[in-house]
Amino acid sequence: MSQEVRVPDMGDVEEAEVIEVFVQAGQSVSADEPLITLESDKAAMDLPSPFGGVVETVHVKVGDMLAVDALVVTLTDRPDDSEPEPEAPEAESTPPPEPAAAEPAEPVASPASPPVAPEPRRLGTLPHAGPAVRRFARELGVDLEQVSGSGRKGRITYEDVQLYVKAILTRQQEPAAAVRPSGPPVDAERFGPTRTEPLTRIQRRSGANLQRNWQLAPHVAQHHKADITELDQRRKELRGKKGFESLTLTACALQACAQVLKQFPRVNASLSEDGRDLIVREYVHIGFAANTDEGLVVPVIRDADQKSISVLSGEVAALAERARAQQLTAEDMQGGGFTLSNLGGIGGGHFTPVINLPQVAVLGISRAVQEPVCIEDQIESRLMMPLSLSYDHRVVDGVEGAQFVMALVWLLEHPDELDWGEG
Amino acid sequence: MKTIDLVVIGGGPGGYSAAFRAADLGMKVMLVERFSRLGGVCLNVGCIPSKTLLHAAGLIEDAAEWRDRGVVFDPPQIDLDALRDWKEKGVAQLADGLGALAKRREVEVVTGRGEFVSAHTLAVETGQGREEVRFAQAIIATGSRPIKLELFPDDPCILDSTSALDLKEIPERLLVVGGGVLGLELATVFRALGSQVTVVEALEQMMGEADKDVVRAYLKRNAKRFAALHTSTQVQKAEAKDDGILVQFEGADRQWEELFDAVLVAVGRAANSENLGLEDAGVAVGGSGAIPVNHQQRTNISHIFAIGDVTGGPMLAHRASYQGRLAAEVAAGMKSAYEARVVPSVAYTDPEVAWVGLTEREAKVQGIAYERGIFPWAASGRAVGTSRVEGMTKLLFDSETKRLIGAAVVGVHAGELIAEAALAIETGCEAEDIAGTIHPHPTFSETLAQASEVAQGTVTELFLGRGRGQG
Repeated sequence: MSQEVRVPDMGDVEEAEVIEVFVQAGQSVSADEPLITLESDKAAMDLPSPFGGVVETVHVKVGDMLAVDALVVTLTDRPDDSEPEPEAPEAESTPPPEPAAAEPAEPVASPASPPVAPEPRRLGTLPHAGPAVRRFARELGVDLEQVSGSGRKGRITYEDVQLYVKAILTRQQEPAAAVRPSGPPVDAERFGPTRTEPLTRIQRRSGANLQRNWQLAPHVAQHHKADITELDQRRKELRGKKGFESLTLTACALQACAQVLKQFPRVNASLSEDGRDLIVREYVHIGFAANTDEGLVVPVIRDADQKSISVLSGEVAALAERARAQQLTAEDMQGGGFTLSNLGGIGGGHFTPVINLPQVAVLGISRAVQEPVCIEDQIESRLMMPLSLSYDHRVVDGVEGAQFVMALVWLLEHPDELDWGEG
Repeated sequence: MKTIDLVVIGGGPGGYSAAFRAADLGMKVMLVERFSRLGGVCLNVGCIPSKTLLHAAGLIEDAAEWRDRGVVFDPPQIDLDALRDWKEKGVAQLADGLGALAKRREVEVVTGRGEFVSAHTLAVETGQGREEVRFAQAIIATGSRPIKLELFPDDPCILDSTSALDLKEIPERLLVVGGGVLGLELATVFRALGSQVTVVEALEQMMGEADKDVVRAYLKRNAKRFAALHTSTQVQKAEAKDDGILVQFEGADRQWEELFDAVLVAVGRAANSENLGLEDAGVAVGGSGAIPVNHQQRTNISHIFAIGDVTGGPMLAHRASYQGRLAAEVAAGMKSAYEARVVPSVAYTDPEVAWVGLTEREAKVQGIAYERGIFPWAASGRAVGTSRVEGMTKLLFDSETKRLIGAAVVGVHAGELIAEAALAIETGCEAEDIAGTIHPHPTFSETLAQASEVAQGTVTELFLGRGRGQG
């Protein structure tokens, strides 16, 4: 008997791309053996075979976009099913003749605009939806032939129509970026030798998102520097001690950001879909950019405001490690309300980070360097860290942006106010 | 000149539904009806009064039949005047109700004839004279009328459905020309009221649209109740004589003459699209007189709609009221369209015959593979108890998608039972859905579940052989 393997629930990922197919028709697979690899814009995952058997048909190929419940492969229970099911004779293949002469079509007198009844389709094969859903679909202009039903035996529900419309709307926004991402085409080959290197999948995906975010949000960047002499001293003292095995400036900055976000809830908010309301988060989840060989990923620390620097540093290290091993799940990268990008390990001064919509702000921090600073008419050598806050000017105004940065600098300059989680 | 949002011409079930729905949607509506009462043919001279008479006919039949079963009444005495009064009373009550509903909705009801002067002007001819109104949109709901056959003389003994329901007298020998739904319904009434009824039909089968087995189930009870049922037979000539109408028939292999006291012509209905000034409004009319419309009931002039019988068949009140509400919604700016997939048909004969969706014949012509479930009422406890075992319930399922695509019911209350099948088709039910819905016992409605079980092979009320229906 054959059984179908379908795409399981993927959290709030609606569609994922097939990036690898491990099996082909006729091949035996054992339970849990991976069949295909799916990659969403959040993560890649293998789809294991739910049971052992022989692959009868592979319904997907690399590059297909699959939604939840899409058919992946058909498996046959036993390796040697001696009864190959013959193809059912196509009894239906003869096209139905023109509707019988029972209702002769009205000859239309005026050639001007003859209203013609739509071509009747075969009753039993019309989309599986009741009158109410059909009416709803018509109001939205949805062709029910295109909607896949989630109800029993593929019956189309209200929600299916809504999800279909949503999916179309999202899709319409994204390809805008994909039209011609490069700008005006120039044949670089004409001016010297070139070679083509494919972008990684993460780069391709994040590129489209970055372009969308840059175009949609009016970015304003507020730059400043924080004197972290004392903070860094404290960090160096603690580093390596129990609970601070991998203490980084990122963890300290996350603690400071979490506290400041509590003071400035609008910075921890999003615009509603119609742009008329502000959705203010009553929790503080912060994403941080982690570099991997494949590109940049942004795992999210949950409830950062309730965690000490000690706890945060442990979580940052663990997530960064999993990111490098490409083991992050979609869930690890969801739910952030603010993002931190730390380029301190590399060097360079202020930069303009791109907001990760629907978040409204992102903080970039750069390499701290010893600088001469004037303190009460004395020149002192202090460790100064450049900060850059990009914010969505539709939500955050200039005053609030500056206040946010000042509050953050103040905290970083008063490390006693941070929760280090010692002892 | 008075200006209104929407004028509806014709106050039948389609027209008043349109006017009421439009008013409820906030439009300023005028409803033009040539008779003083709303309700049209259906309420005044059609569905409703004929059902009153059919009910009376049923009582007479039942009383006679139960004589052998221990319930003995004296032979009925028919007081035709009282019966007519009762029928009129029911009609009046319903018509008054419509008038009150129109008033509460502030629909302006005008008694008179409407005629288009232009695409935005309607002249209304009332008892008080002629008035022109300017309208933004219009709905034509003028219905249909019985087709007259020229070969019949203009004589008070030649009846159509309207004059027959007037019930002036009960003819002793009645010929019904046309063995369709309407002809057989009226034949049923007059037979019960005491006429000897002959029915003549040009096609080879009574109720031509229905499947053969369905008609056979109907004839099981009726073949011998009428004086004669002639199929494949034409009326060649009809002459008014002193002692009645002499009718000449031509059948497949013989010709003969017969004398009748009255002839009722029920050969179909024609759309009322004349004398409406449609040319002046620019509205196109089809060859048979029906007005072609699109899926939103718009005519070729897009702000003028047409609904119901005037748009052609099937000429049924329930189709008209659906289309009326739909046109009103479209006129009010809603994005509605004709979404219904099927229109049920009912012959209120004895037994009733009802069908919806595809017949077997249509499925075959269209090359659709189907599975059939027939439940004979002889196996229905309710039918046996009521002594109405001639019925049958037949369901057709698409072989490929398993969904219900057609149904036919013969038997008492078939008209009530067919609604479940219509719902099942509209909502895409399969045999399993219907069989899996617990139906009350003992009822006639059970036969729909049982016919589904027959199609599935899981029925227990019949024996079809073992090892069936294992999924």
